Amino acid sequence: MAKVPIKPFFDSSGSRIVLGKKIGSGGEGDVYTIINSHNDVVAKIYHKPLSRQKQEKLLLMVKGCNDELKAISAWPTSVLHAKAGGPVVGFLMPKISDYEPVHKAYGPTHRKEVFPHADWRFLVRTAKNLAAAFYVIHKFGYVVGDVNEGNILVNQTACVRLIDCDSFQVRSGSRLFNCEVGVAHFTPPEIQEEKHYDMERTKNHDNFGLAILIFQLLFLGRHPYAGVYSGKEDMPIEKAITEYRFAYGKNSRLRMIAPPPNSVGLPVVPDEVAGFFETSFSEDGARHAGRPEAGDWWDVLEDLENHMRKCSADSMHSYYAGLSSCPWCRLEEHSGILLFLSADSITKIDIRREWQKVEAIIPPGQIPSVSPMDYAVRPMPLHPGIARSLDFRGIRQIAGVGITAVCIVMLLGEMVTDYLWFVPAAVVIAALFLYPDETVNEKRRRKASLDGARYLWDLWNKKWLAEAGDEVFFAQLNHLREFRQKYEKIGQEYKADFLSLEQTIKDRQLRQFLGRWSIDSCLNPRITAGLKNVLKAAGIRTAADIAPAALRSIPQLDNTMANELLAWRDKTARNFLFDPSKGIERDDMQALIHKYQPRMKPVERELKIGTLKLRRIQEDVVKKRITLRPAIEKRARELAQAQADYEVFGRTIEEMALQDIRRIFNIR
Amino acid sequence: MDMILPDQQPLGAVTFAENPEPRCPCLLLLDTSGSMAGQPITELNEGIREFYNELQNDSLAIKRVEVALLSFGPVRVLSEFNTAECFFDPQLEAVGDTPMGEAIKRGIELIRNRKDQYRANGISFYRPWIFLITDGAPTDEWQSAAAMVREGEASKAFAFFAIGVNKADMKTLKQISVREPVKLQGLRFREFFQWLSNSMKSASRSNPGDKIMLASPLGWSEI
Repeated sequence: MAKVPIKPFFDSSGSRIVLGKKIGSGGEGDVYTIINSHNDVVAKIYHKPLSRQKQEKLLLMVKGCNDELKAISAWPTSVLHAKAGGPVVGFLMPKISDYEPVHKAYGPTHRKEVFPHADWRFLVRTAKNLAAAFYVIHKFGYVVGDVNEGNILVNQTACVRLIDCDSFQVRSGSRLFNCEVGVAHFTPPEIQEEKHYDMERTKNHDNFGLAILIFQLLFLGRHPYAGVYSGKEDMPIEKAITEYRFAYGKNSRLRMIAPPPNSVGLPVVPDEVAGFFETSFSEDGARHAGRPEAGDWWDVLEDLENHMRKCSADSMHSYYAGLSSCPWCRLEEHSGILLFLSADSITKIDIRREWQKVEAIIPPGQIPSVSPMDYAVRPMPLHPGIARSLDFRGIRQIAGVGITAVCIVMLLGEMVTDYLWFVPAAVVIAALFLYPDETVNEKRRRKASLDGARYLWDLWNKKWLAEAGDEVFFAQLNHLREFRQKYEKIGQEYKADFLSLEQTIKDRQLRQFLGRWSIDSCLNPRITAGLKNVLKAAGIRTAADIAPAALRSIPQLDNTMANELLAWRDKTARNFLFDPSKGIERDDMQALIHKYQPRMKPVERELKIGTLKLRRIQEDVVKKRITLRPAIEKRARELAQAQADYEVFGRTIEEMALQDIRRIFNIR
Repeated sequence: MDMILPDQQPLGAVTFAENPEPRCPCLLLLDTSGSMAGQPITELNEGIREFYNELQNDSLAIKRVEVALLSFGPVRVLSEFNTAECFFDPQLEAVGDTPMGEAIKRGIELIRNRKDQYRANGISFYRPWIFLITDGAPTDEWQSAAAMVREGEASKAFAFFAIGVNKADMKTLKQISVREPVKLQGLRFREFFQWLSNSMKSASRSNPGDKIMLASPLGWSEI
């Protein structure tokens, strides 16, 4: 926490200046309010001692200060000394309050929050006022130098103020006091590649930055050099500036750069304005005094202001009257984003019609069943030798089992005394079971082809279910239903807010109406003139003041009389007619719309895009059912065939035993 | 009408047309291996929350800085590149091992894809920053990832910084990162993220081509 200097400072005339609250802080110094002064002046105090050069520059600026400069900027009005006659340590300047950096006005996101009422007319006016401000600076021979998005401020009435004036370039006779800073995105090509900003800055340099800012204001925050570059390397803005790659220019194709998607091009402005941009961003502009000047810009923007039209679909859409249709409607429709907060309604879609579109998309229905079970296939016949071998194998195995059984019976019946007798029997059994034969290879081959077929079937079946099934369709449909609910919920909340706003207005109008009925006009004979005086003394003068609580506090009133009075008030109120035209103020209404519209927009977008997506899914599923069908059927048939082929071996004793074991232990 | 159908986007995702400001991408590769469990992961979560908070309070940074979060152990993309407006509370849990190599490769891919989107949408961007935060040593193959880091640094595709926590294997980090890895002092994640948000804020105001000027990592590193 920086400590607040409490020691006084002295201005140019030697008067004491006592600092108040710190209201801003920057790299070079802090800004303070001033105690015991008008509220319209603030002080900037530098962190470090200033060079002689800088002190002289400030003194010159103060000397040059006039009303025109003060009106458009935080121009130094007096230098400050820490002690009388000492070095300059700071300066006084006009206080600029309720202004926002210009980037909050040109970027749609922040504009909608900070300048909710701003339409394109507002942006054109801001651009014109910006040109006017530059015009004044240039008129008195100064150069801004460090043009950027942060040191130009805008207020709710589109007025523009320049701040950080102590960095401006100042000339006095042959002496030049440089502007030593700059921001690359606003620096003209001719000095873009310089390492330091120590060269003399010219009006023509400023006019480049001015053209960039005007472009950003008119083209919804887009930088004129930020486009889609078709070359391979990176194309940062600085490089694009150096290479004159104006993304919207008539030569942009030659420069391999195109406007970004979801942007509007130069046709949205009159030809003269477009021509000004072309010149400002071309090689011609870079030549001595080649760019349009602030005054020129003011003229063409003034002309544009006089040729504007309001969109019939949305009153917040103003556009150049030379166009045949509203460019903002088109861009909003195309991009799905909300460019300007509408003043009319929180939604731009008709949910019922949108939902009809959803319902018109017929669900693809159940997935056609494809399964290996559907195929009756005949197993591939075994080679006669293998078949014989397999038969013989069967006999061998039955014999083996037989002998084993006999052995077990003998063993259990204790018919054998010497276990050694079993040794030859075991050898015979083993030979019967394990003797290799020709079936082994064939079995292995068929098993491999079965495994392969099953693997492929699983793979394709998964794909088939995923892509030809209706799950994705219904998932998307449910997604849309959720968004429809969201849409309706926002709509209901808006309506509730609207109604309560309307109710307040109604109550207010009713009160006003009742307020016009003095209790003297109550002709009920029981309410005597004396009683009326008592009532008046208690503050009950008109029908509007009559309320049960207020009446109870008057001892002279009994219940009947109180009820009579209430009845009179109610009877009077029945004559009240709500006048909706004098209802909700436009400002209240807009605030309400602005609260709900930004919530509604993304939901609208999801609904619109989601409907298109649903249609695409539906078409895709239908298409997949046709295109994938032969492939999945082929795999089903192949698996059926492989299963049938292997079946012959599956019936052997050991296979059946293995299958039983697998079944018992649940192994696949 | 040529309507592009983007994939599901979180509500409130700001499209490039609504916010055409140049972007300043920052990717955090966060170690969520078992050894981070307890205090470290809590502090890390807290630090990230703070980080978003700081960015949200700056009117230019909120439009320009884009953060992506990727955790490893196992490798998961928690949040794609998004401006700080779309705050993402990752609620990290420390569970897995340390597949640092895979995480780095995945992260570099994320950056590459995002840059393609910027280019396609005519959005200018600053050199992306990658911050690797780890308390261990890679448990997978990391040499090829290190090669990608070197290549990316050489071609100025991104700037890669490695932050070691506790018993991090600084030797391996040194082999992965071209820039000298920095050791976090204790569990000063908060101070680190404070520093990072300040650096991002000033970077988002600099000129995209400028040399990266980082404030000295005072207050959180062991330098």
